[in-house]
Amino acid sequence: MLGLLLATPIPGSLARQTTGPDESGDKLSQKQMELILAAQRQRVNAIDRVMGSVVAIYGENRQGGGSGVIVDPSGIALTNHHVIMGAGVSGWGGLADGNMYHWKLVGTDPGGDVALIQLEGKTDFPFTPLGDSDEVRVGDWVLAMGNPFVLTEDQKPTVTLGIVSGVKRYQPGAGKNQLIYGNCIQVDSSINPGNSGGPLFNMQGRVIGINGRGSFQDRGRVNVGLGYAISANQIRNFLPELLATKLVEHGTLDANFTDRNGKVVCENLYENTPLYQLGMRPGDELLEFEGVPIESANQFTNLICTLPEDWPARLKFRDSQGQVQTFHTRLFGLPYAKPSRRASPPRGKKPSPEEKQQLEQQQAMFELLAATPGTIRNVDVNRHQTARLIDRWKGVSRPDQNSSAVLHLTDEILDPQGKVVGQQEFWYSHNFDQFRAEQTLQGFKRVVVYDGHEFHQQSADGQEPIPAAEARSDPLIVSALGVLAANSKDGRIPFFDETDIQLDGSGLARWQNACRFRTDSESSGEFYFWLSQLGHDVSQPVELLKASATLDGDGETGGMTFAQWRDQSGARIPGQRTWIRNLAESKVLQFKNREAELLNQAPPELFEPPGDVDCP
Amino acid sequence: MMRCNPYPKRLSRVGIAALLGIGLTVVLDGSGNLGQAQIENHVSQIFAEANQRMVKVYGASAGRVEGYATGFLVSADGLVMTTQGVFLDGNRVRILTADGVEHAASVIRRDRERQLALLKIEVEDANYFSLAEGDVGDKGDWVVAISNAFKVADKDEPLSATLGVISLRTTIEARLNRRDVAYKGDLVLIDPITSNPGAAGGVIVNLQGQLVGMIGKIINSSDTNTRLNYAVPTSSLEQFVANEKPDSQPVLAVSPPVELGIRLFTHGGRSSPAYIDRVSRGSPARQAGMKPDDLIISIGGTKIGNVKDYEQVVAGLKVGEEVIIVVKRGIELIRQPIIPVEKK
Repeated sequence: MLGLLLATPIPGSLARQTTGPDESGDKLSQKQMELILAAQRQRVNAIDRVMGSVVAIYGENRQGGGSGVIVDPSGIALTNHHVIMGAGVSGWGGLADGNMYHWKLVGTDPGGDVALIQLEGKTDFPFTPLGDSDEVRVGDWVLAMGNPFVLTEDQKPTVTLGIVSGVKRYQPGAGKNQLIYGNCIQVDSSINPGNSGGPLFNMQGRVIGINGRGSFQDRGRVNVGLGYAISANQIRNFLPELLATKLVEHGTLDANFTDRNGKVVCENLYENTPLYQLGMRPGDELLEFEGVPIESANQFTNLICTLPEDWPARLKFRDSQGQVQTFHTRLFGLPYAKPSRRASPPRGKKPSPEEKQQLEQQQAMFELLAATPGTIRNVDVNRHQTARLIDRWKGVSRPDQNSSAVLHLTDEILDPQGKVVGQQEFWYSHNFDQFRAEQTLQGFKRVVVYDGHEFHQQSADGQEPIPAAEARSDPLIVSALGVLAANSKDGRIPFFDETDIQLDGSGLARWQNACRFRTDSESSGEFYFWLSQLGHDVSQPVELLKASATLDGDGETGGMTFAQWRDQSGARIPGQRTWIRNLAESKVLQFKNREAELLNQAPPELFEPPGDVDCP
Repeated sequence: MMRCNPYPKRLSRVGIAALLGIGLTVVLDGSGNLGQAQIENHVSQIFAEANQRMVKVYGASAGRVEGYATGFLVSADGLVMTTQGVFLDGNRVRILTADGVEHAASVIRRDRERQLALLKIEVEDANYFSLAEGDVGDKGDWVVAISNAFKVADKDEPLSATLGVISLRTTIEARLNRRDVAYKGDLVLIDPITSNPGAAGGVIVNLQGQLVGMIGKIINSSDTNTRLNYAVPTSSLEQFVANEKPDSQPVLAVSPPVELGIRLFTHGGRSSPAYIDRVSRGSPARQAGMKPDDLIISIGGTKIGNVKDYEQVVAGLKVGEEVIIVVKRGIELIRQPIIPVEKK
């Protein structure tokens, strides 16, 4: 592209005409002026599209100042942790429509300086989805929006244009493990006090970061051309944790790495860490982290800064014998300093209403920072967010087919090497509240029926009911339940109807960012499932990615991943299901869908326990 | 006098329109119907190519003065252009090339008048900026400023890029006053913010990747707390590297110390009022009719509150350049022109 420019004769001001330094050299031709105006209109239109999602954030007293951006029509907005530290746990948000909406804090990440708030009063807030910040390059145009110096009177944000000056920057934190900007985006758009928490947009109208700080010096906190934004991809890693109402910690391996002779080696690590138990020793060379080749210790620090506690990290290293090994391990949390003292009212004096409100805010802030990191702080808010996400998953309306039609699926079963080892068939009732599964695997045949209440199976050993606690780790049942759950009507999830589902946090499923949900009931025990996060493409539906009876799919139990969902015969059908084990998601068996059809006529006894049919 | 205003008055409304559109126009005209995205491509590529020729310079830090700067290669065998500064006074100067490799640098030449320094590292076949191309770029042209302001980049990490336009090509007159500039000569005023710690020694390149100049040392106005964003043009750099003196006289020769022939009462220290104690015979003050016990109110329009103010203002005066002195005698205010002479 540069070659093209250099090879092309350049008209206009860059190739100066020999008019000398008088004013005529500054005049633009009619055509140039039209082009300039057209480009300007284009930019104004782009700004208009995203401006509605920018929030001016104030405290309950409508004072203070920060910025934010709505990323979901339900009113979920992002801002900085240091903004809510000033504004409090609730307050008012001004939008470009001129109205003020009340907001409440949902969750916060002091380590990465990100907080998530919920605006109230509308269900169709203007919003801008998160973009892919890994695609950001130096030189890209970017727009910063927000409320610098609390300038706005009508709540319309200030817009500053600039370019990306640097990517993958690191800016050290303050306090104990707080406000660290790792792998962040550096821009020359003006970022001033009050811009904090506001969005950094690319020209495609996506949020690629949250502006949070700048390089300042002795001249005071004014823009000097270096602003930093927390990357959208880091935020995506934390989003489910924040929605789950947590005080989120950042992850660590509890090991230090350093640059030595062009290699990144482990300098020291604690003996009781999983890394040590898995076999890593000081001096071992780190080759890859999260699938990214590691070339410097700084780069590793940058990457790990973007991950929350409990993140299922993968790393590859070479030990002293030259053996290359791959590990999967969950990250530890980096603790924060606890707030030191509780706010108390001044003695002997009755506080004024303002003082009382202030005191309440201080108290709420104390409780927020004193919360146990990683726990669900507010069950009601969590339940609300859970219901909203599940609605998003199941809310896709599909045309109603024949009222009594039964969905019939036929799968091929393959081993990890791709060799066909069996076959299975499923029948799902019209309402997706019952199923029948028949599996032939390595010569053994098994029939499982779910009549809407209980599981029954028939095999060579005879006919028996399956206790719910066993059913949840049965590959055949879990794979069938996934299809039931994705298709059942009225927002119901069969089998889990009676249990309380909670948004449990962030996770990876099939190496994609996911929201992890957890259910726990006396009859069936724990169960987890993972839904995809809204991607860069908003039109992409939310999908079920994985389901497992244990968090990490450990040991014999394992878990099931679902892939290649498609709409067919009026239903959502997974093209592939894979039984996996452990954090590494090692394949055990794959189930490839070969046929899907609707049966208008199905025998009524299809969903009855097999014994009743087969017994003479 | 040169004001430290980042937006000089010649950046007129037409100039601002240029800021919004000229680069775009070039792209649109040059290659048919292309969009704004093309500038992004250019900046991205120009940056990637320029960054290969840039270095990070680390030296001694002294108090609040930063011990780092930016630099760039100007020859294949490792000549490095950077800014003059205290950081070059230490025992050793380290240079990190774009690949993150550290080199020991020797200082070839320093010029305190133009605030330039030439260093040398041992490399072969390095990618470098040619200074022989002469001055390019004019008012309104897009430029990319590349530097390691605030030491944001470490090791082999790429430097920072900021985008802006050339505001003006001009010359400034050096003044050895605290609010003025210890630099005389041609310079390129730009609108991207470059007056930041560590940015000096960075480059300004145009959208064809040609060197427009080197980011100059911070010039700060203590009156307005504003800074000048500017570059030393390529031709000046070339002169310096070729060890040629500039056409103009160096700074110190232009402004020799001056005197008015006044001695003040200084028993109360430098913060006491500026009462005249004695007037030298045949001095400018004698010619202007100044007398002992007169209280100096202002010189050249600048208020004189005490002895310290007087010393600072006199240090900024120029030989032979008439200024107005105002003194209070009894209840009378006396205004007189006075012509400073060179201090003996």
